[in-house]
Amino acid sequence: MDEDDRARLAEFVTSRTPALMRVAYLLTGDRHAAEDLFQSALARTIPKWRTLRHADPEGYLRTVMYREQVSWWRRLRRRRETALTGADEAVQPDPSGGADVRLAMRAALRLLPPAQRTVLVLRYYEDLTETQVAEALGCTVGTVRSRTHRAVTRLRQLLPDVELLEVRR
Amino acid sequence: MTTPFEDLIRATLSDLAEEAPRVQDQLTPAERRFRNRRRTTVTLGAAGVVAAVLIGAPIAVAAGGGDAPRPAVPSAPPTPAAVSPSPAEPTAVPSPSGPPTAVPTPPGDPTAGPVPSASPPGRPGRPVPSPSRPGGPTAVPSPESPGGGPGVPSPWPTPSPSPRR
Repeated sequence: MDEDDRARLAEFVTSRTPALMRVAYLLTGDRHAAEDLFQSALARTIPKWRTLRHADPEGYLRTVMYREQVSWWRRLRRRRETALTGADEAVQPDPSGGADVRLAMRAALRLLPPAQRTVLVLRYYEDLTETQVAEALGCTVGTVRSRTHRAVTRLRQLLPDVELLEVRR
Repeated sequence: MTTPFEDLIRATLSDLAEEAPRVQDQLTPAERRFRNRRRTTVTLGAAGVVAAVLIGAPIAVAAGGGDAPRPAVPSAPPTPAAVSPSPAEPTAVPSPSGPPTAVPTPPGDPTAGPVPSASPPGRPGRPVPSPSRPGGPTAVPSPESPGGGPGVPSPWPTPSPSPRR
């Protein structure tokens, strides 16, 4: 990679890091895991930079991040490094306000498997259609639908009182 | 068409995204990872090639080593009927250049006993019929063998020892 390519890559990384780190943080739910995911995806993008710089490097990098997050190897490594943090503890809903609902939802999101969590992030944060999510993850639309359905069902199971709280609010 | 539950998911994800850490200079550690990754890939590839050669070379040599001629199969041992002394007539003419063969000796020598012609132990020589003059003695398998049954027919003439002079 010559100096010009490296300068363009550095400029791209500097300008797009905040947005990409937000996605990585949503996908992983942990600061260090988010940095690790982003760096892994960037390391996979660097050798392709010459062919990507005139195309869509951000799309490629995002796709690598999504697929890396649900990959089998990463799941295996994550299982070895599993550490409980305070954020993983269950939050009891408190009818005093709306913050507790979001805290409970945040804790429930952490309990989702990576594949279901990734689908939720792409559908509800990135606002992608099911077809776009399927293309990004390299799976079928039916898989995206089933994962979304399972994720929402699981969240409803984890938060049985949320809808009651919302009504009360 | 969104449900309140989906709106809650959206709001929670947006809140979470705002809490994403601010990081600086992710390019340098990413490049370091890339170099480590490439080094690991090259090392593992070289190790795989070496392992394949170490495993495959003996197998290939064993499988492809059939160019050398096969070791000679020892011929059928001469049957007692075939090597039994037959002092009657000379059967083979000595060839000057060939391997030791049956030596014809004139019959009737009183000083010599019937001794089979010597041939190297372990590799019995075959009587080679030499080009002979018309009417000369030729190598003929001796069909009669005193006290023995007919020998196993062989495509080669069996030596018939004759008494040494």
